[in-house]
Amino acid sequence: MRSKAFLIRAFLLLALIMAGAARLAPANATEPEPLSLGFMPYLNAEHLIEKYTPLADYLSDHLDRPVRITVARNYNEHIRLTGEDRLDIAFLGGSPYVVIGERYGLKPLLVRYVFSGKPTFRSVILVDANSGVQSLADLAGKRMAFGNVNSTLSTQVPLYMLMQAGVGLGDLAAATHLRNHENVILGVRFGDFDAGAVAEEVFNEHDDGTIRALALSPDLSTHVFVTRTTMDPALRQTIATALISLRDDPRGPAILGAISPTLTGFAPVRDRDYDLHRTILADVLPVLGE
Amino acid sequence: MGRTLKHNRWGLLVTIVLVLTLFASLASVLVHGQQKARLTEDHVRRMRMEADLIGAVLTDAMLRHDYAEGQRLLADWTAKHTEVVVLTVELDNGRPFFVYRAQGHTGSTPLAVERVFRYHDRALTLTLCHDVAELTGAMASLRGGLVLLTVSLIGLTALTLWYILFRWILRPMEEEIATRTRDLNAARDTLEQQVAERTASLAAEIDMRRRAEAELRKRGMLVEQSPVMIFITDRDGVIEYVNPKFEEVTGYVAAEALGQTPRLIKSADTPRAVYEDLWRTILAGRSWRGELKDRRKDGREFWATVAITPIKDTDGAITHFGALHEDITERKLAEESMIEARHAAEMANKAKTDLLANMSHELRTPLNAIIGFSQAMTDGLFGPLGDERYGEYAAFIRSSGTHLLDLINDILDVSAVEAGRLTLNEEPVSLADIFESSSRLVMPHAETAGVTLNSTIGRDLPLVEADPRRLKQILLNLLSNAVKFTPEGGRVDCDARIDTDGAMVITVRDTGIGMDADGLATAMSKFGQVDSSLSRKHEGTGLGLPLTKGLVELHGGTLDLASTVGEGTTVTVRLPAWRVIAPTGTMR
Repeated sequence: MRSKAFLIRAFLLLALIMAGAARLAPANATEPEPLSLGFMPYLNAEHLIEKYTPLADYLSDHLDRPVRITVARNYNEHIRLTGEDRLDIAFLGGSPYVVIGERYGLKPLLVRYVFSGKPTFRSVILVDANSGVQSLADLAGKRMAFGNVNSTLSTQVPLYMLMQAGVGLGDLAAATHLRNHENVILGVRFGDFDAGAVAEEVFNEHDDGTIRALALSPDLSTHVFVTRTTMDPALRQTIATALISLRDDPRGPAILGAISPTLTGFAPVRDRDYDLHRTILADVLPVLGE
Repeated sequence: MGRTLKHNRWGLLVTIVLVLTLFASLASVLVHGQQKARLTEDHVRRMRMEADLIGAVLTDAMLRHDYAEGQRLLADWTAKHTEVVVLTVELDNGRPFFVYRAQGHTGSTPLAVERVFRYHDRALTLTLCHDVAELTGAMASLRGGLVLLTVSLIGLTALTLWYILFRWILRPMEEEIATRTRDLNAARDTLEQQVAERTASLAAEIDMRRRAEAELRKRGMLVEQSPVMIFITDRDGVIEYVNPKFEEVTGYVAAEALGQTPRLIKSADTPRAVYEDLWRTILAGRSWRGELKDRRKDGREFWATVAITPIKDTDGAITHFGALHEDITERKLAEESMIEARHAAEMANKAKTDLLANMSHELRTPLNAIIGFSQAMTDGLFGPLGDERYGEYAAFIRSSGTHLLDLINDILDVSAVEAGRLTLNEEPVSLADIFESSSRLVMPHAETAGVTLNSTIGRDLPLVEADPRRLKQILLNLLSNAVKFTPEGGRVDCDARIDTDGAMVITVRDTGIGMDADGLATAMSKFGQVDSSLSRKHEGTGLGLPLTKGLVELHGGTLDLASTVGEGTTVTVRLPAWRVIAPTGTMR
C-alpha cells in the first residue's frame, strides 16, 4: 500500500513536471500532450486518484490524448493553479469557482456533477447520534469540526448556516478545520467534536447510525469542472460533451460509481448557478479572514 | 558367569538409557515449557513495542485529528503484518476507532497486547493480537530440535556410556577378572598340585616315618632282643644304654651300668695296646673290630667278638659310640677243639703219608724180589722147576706180585696227588701219539674181550702242553676201563677236538654196561667199583678213575662222566685252552 502511494506521488510529481515542461516547450506534433485533470484535496490524494482514474481513462479515450490526474497539496494551491490556468481541467467547488472568478477571472465551465439525478448538493451539519444537540443554536459553546477553511460544503456553507442560526464562529467552544470531510465525520463519531460539517454526499457515505444530520443547507450547485482559459473551445466542447455523454456510455455507471455511489452523471452548467455561493461567501469570508 | 555378566551389563545399559531418556524427556519438557514461555514473552514484548509504535503514529494522527490517516495506517499495518489477527482501537467513549479481525479468528490467543494511548484529553485502547502460527511453528521447530537433541544426546550418551562401560571399564575389568581368574585358577591348580604333592609328600613322609619308626622299632627290638651285648656310650665313653643281653651276660643291671665306662667289664688280661688301638681307631671315625676278653660282675671272664662303631651326626661329628660284644666263649672253645683236631688229623695224615711212602718202599722192595724171582722161575733162568705145577705157581706168584705192585703204585700216585707232591713234566704232546701208544697196550685186551677199539684222533690236532706220561696214564686208564666194562661185541670210540672256547676235549665212549647216578658217585670214589661182580670179573684197583680225575685236574682240566645203564658210558676230559698250542701262524 505504501509502495503504491509512493508510486502515485512519484507519478503526480512527474505529471507536474511534465505539465510545466509542456508550457515551456513547443507542442510535439506527433505526440499529443497529456491533459491535466487537477483536484483540490477534499479527499486524500490517493483516494482521489483512485476515484477519478476511470474518468481520466475515459476522457483519454475520447480525446485521444492522455489525461493525467493531479492533486494539489491544499485548497489555495489548487485555486492558484487553476486561476493561473496551469491545469487543463480543474475540479472546483462552487466557492473556489466564485473566488477564482473574482480573483483570476471566470474560468470556462465544463460540466457540473449530478448526484442522484440532481445537479445540486447540500451541506450537512452532523452530530453524534446520541448527542443532545437538537438545533444549530444548541451548537453555541460546542466544539465544531470543519473541513478545509476554503471548502464550500464543509466550512463556508455550514458557517453560513450557523450564522443564519445566530451562532457565530466565536460562539463555538472550538472551531477546528480538519484536513477533509472524512476526518470531520470521524471526529464527531469518536467524540472529539460535538458537531461537524461535511457534504451531504460524504455524510450519506459514512452514515452508519452513529451520527445524525442536525441541519441541511439549501441546494447548492454541485462541483464543476472548468478548463483553463486558454483551452481550445473545440476541445473544451469535446470534453464537455464527453463528460455529459458519460451517463449514456456503457462504462458510465462504473466510472461514475467509482467517483461516488450517488453520482449519476454530469450536466451542463452556467455561471449563475453559483450565485448562492457568491451570497454565502460574501457573509462568511470576512469571518473566515478571507 | 561371563554370560551373566554380559547380560547384566546390557541390562544396566538399557536401564541407564531408560533413565537417561526419562530425564532427557523431563528436561526437554522443561526446556520446551521455558522456551515457550520465553518465546511467548519475547513475542509479547515485541508486540508491545509494535503496539507502542502503532500507538505513537496513531496518536500523532489523532492529535492532528487525521482520523482517516490513522485508520488507513492501521489498515495498512494489518495488511502488511500478516501475523496480526486482531487489531482494534477503541476510544474511551466505547466507540470503535478501528476494528480488524482476521477471517475466522475468534480473538482467543495467548499473544495479545492491550495498550492505552492518550491524545489531548482522550484515551485510545489498542488491542493487538498476533497469530500463534509463528509461535506454534517456532515451538514445533523447537520441539523438533529438542527431540533431535534429546535423541542425539541419549544416543551419544548411550554410546559414550557403552564405550566407557564396555570399553573403558567393563572390558578392562573383565579382562582383569579373566586374567585374575586365570591366575587364581593357575594358583588354585598350583596350590592343589602343591597340596597334592605335599599330601603325597606327607603321606610319603608319614609312610617313611612309619617305616622309619617301624625300622627304629625293629632296630630297637633288634637291639633289645639282640643275642649280642650292645651298649652305647657318649663321646667320652660314658655308658648311656645297655641292652638286656648286656645285663644277662655281664650280670650288671642297666642302672648299674649307665653312667659307667666300659672299664666296668674290662679284663685285666687284655693288653693295653689293644685298647689304645681301639680308641685311636674309633676316635678317627673308623670302626674297630676285634676280640676282647670281658669280665662279668661276678669276676668271671669271657671272650667276645667286639665291634665298636662311632655314631656320627649329620655333620659327620662323632656324638656316640656303639659297641657290640658277642660272647664267643663257646666258639673259642670249638675253635680250639678244631685246631687241635685239625692238628691231630694233619699229624695222622702225615703219618699216613709217611706210612704210605715207607710202605711203598718197603712193599715194592720185597715185591720186586717176588716178581723178579718168580719171573726167573717161570722163565727157567736157572733150569726147569721139575714139576709143571711149580711153573704155574711161579707164574701165579708173578701175576699176583705185578697186580700188587700196580696197586701200590696207584695208591702212591693218588697219595702223591692228594699230598700235592706229584709234579708234572710238561712238554708239547701229540694226542695222536699218546692214543697210539695207549691203544697198543689196550688193544690185546680189547681183542681178547671181543671189543672194537676205534679212534678218530687226527694228526692235524694241535699239540697240548702236558706231561706225556701222565697224559698217557689218563688215556690208558680211560681206555682200559672202557674195554673192561664193555661186553663182547661192544665198541669203544676215542675222539679229540678243539672246543669253541679253545679247550681240548677228549672223549672216550663205550657201549658197555653203563652206570646209574649212584654208580657214577661210587666210580669216582677211591677203591670203588660199581658192580662187585665186575670187580671180580674185571680186575682193578678201584683207584683208576679217582687217580685219572686227579691227574686231569692237575693239568687244570676237568673230567666228566655221563653214563646210562645198559647203554654205555662217556668220559669227557677237557684240557684248558691255555694248554693247547696253536699252530704256527694262527692265533689261539
